[in-house]
Amino acid sequence: MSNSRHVDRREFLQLMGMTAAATVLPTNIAKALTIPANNATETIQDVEHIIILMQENRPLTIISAPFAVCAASQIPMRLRSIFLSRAAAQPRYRFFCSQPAQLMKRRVSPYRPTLAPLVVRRTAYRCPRHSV
Amino acid sequence: MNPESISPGLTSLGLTYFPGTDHSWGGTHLAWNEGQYDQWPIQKGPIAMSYMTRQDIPYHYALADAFTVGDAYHRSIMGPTNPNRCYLWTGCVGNVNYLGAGGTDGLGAGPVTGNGLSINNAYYVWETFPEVLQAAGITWKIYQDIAGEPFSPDFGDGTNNSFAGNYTDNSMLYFNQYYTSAPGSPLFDNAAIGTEIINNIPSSSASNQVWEAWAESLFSQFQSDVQSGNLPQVSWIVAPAGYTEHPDYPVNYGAWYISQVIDILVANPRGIQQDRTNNQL
Repeated sequence: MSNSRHVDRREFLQLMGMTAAATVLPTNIAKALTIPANNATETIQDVEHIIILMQENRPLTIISAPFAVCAASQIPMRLRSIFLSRAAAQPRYRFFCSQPAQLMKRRVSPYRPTLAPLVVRRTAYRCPRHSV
Repeated sequence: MNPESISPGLTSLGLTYFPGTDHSWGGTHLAWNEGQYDQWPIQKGPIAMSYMTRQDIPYHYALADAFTVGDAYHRSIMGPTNPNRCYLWTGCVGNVNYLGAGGTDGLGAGPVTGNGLSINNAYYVWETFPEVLQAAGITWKIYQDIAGEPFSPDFGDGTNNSFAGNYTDNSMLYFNQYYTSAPGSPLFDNAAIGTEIINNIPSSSASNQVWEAWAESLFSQFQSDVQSGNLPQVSWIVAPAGYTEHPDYPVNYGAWYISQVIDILVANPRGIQQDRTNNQL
């Protein structure tokens, strides 16, 4: 299956030449990273608290699309060629990368919306042409 | 910072009130289209293909940079809020074989695919994780804000204020074991009570500082438990609607909420260590 899975977040960062260290972290996250882990027994017993913060059903694609295969138009050519070749081999990627939109009479690719159309005319998005 | 006073959509995508999309059992399965995954814009509108970038939602990106993320994350069920939260708190949507003819609500209902009480307007009856933890001697608590009644008809969100209450997101309040529990019992005290900040809402003319303190009072119980070393072994935090990132509430309101939780935890490593000592005794 390895040749059909999409590039995950870490691989994406590596390909982009980016690392977490290159990012300026908000203070409280940086501080969290400085607190030593409790590894007294090096077993599951070291996990003394589990805190589950579950918010709501915002589609994860809104958060993570730039890391996913569907954002092919947003990524470097080197990666894009990989996706293009995969999409050619696998119709499923093509479907996912750009999808039919009934009202618009054309396909919709993933896009980062601009503010003005969102606020003023919610049905008249200008979407990029599908790229794959 | 009166959250209600922030103008929608004028500063950044992260602070924009995006319109919500269909996420019902039916609509979601139509978008899935028998596994072809090609009906999102048709079923949900073009907004379903939109996304945000690091400049829009920097705090979320920073979290992802710093901590382990679920790269292959998927939701438990292609349906709305409550069934997914049933998985969070019970591991299933009632599709367990010990229920028999009474089904998920004792009146014959099947697995949960929608929000609220059962299709028979009854409370659900199968076993939940907090009960399992309780029986095993594991401490637990659900941190939430309660506006109105914890059970029917409000389920903790009985006002129209988006920044108080629990958005009816505490699924345990739809279960009969909790509904019939008495104040003072573990199920009631750890799942059916919380802060009630709607009772202390500032006047509209109050200063930003007053509004900010009001918003932060959502965390008073959580913060107190962390500081005093009484954080349970397992805890769940349920946010008011405005901080859940549910469309159309802005993603960065959620970032503020997450950030508050992180603030409390990193400010009190000593409190957690104290709790560690207590556990070993």
